[in-house]
Amino acid sequence: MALITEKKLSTIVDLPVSLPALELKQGDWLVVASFKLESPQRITYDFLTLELIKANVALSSVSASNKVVSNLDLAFIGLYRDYTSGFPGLTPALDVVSANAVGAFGRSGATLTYATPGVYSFIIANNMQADSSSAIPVATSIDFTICATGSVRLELDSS
Amino acid sequence: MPLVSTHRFSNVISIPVALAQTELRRGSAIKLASVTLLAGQTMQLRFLFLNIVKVLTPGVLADEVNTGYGLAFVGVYADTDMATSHVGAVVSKQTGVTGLSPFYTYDYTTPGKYSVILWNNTGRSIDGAMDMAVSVSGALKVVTE
Repeated sequence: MALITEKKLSTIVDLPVSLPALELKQGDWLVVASFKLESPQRITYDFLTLELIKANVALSSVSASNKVVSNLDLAFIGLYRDYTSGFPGLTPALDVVSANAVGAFGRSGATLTYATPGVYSFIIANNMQADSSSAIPVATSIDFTICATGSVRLELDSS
Repeated sequence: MPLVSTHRFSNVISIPVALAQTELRRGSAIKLASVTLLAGQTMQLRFLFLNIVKVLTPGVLADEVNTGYGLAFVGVYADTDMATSHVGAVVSKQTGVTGLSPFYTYDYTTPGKYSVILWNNTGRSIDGAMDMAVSVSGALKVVTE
């Protein structure tokens, strides 16, 4: 049975990734959490849940052309390193949880560990855009009420 | 070398200090967390990051309310809500992520009410007032002996 020391325990902290329910407008995004990783720190990332609580349109009317990035479903939250600006779906993410319907969607992948120095950000986005070929009128903004809950374990050293 | 037992581990809890991207208007403050520390407990602050995502009033030359405290700052307060009377703070003077040095800790053992408050430090003059979008990520580790 592996044990840890008091010193090791004092250098570990679980940082929250927490977004209470809020309305995210069509094509909009926001930063949920961000932190700066310096050598020799590392993060371990395992748990993240994205819940799409409600939409202001019938989701059955949403077509593929309404998606800004086709493989990112209706909305998503991603972990990015050194994100600067712009719609996050157009930037490669380290990990993504996306929602393709109303409900909660959690990570199912393996635990991820990162040690590369940089600024890490969790960014949540509404992946919708207006499109004339969709059943949803162009003048209608496709908005979602959404929340996200997760945690990242940050360790001061990698020992 | 002391090792950590499961009993010991159950007495250590990380309390979140989390604010998703929010508009922080000129001269305003947001309380992010509030903790009551009891005798025998220790609260440790090691990781706290303030991200000024963007300035919402471009072209403004900020006029700081408290000089030296940057555009915005987030502080830990013990039994007070006075902006400059913090017992540990992250000061941000520009856009981007600013944080504490994680190689040092702030340890609090005095019983009482502790608060974490985020301040917009601009707007001493109307022309120097700045609104900004900010996020905060951090944790307070409370250990019960």
